[in-house]
Amino acid sequence: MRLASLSDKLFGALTVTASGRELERFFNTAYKQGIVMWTVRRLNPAKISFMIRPAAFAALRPLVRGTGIRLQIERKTGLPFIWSRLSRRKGILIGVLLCGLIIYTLSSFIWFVGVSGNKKLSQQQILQVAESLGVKPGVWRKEVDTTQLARELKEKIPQTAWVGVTLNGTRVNIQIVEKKERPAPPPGKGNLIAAKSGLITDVLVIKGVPQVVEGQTVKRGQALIAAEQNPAAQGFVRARVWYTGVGSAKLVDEGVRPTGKVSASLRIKIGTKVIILTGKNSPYQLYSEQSTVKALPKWRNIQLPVELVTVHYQEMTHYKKVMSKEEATKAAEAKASSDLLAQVPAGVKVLARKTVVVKNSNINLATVHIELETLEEIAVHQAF
Amino acid sequence: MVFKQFQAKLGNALDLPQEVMLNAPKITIVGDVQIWIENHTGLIEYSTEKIRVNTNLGHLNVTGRDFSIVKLLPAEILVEGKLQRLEFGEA
Repeated sequence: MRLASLSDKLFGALTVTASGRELERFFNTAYKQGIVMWTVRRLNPAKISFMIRPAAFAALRPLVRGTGIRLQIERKTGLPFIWSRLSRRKGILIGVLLCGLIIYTLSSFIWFVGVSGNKKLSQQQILQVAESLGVKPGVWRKEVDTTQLARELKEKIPQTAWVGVTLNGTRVNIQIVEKKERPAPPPGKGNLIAAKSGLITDVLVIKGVPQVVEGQTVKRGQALIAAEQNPAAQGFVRARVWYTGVGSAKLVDEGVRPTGKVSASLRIKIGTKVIILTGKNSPYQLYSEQSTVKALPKWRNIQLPVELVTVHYQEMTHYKKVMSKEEATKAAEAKASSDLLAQVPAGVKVLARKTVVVKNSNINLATVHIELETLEEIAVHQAF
Repeated sequence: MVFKQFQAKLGNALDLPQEVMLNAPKITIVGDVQIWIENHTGLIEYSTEKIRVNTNLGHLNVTGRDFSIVKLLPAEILVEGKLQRLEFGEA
């Protein structure tokens, strides 16, 4: 019946009641004329309702003439009737069309311009440049050429390394990547001194008088290139620098650590009184606790003395880890390595690396030193 | 009579469906909720408790409850409701 009612909606259907005597005869003559009827129901002994296509109703008229049967349309269903009702009420139709037109028109303009990725450049500045290039809220969408805008923005704002422009509906997104600034030459007067102790391998003087020669050992803070007069000393001094990373590990390690089990207890604190809502004091024997307090927001000067306290318990357990000499040495080496990593600046050239297992008086301890030799720039500016 | 017998024999020989050869109604019943009568020759009586249809074999009387005619076509009639009895009566 689904399909039938669907076609009723599409082509329209009339629910008609016929009242009178000898209705069966009327139906026989009707369907013999090729009129299709469905959902025929007897409402009472003298009345039958049925459905037909709207166009068939006119054909029924001559059949009932002179039989005393009265036909009455009870209900009109389906699209054709909705359509005719709509076309009678033109206001709605015009409204719908107008609404669509307004949405379409409004969505063909740029409404927002967004900037992202800017750190030093202000949003205002970028928006101003974009506006001067003809991109601002109110501009017709089709007029925005994203690739051209990106190129022009990059040209106009020299501090940008890359500019991307995307058009998202009524929104223009300007994405910016700023250039990394080159460090400015030191202002005013000043010497170049050693930032680290090391063995000088190269000295390149741009301005000033060299104070050290190649092959010389320098201490941290020692002058490398002295300024003559006004301009600051400039140059490069490269040196071999040594670092030592130290790490040690116990062969027998004891302590407490969390087991991973947690539980929480929710409490309300009113003044000094604490009401436990959920949970208990602590379900664990050995634990560490941590509580978070949520107070009601302060209103004017009134702070209600009611707080919601959540106490998180973390179960702890004793542990004892026994390692062999080799394992302890390995662990110590890993620690030494990370200790070293914290000292050595990134990106320097490593010349040599040596791992030394230190002999220890403490039997329970394995200690490892890692010695690293690097070649790096050690000259830093020091103002007078 | 002779002709009818001949017709039946011919139908059997050609393996044709009976309703075609005899011009008999074909009645399909689904459970006790739907009855579909093809090849009828007229609706004689319709009420919610009783439907009488004319066929070449005489009247077909269907009795039950809550009958409604779902489809009424020149040679087909589809009725839904609660079927109780179906019988062929004299014309």
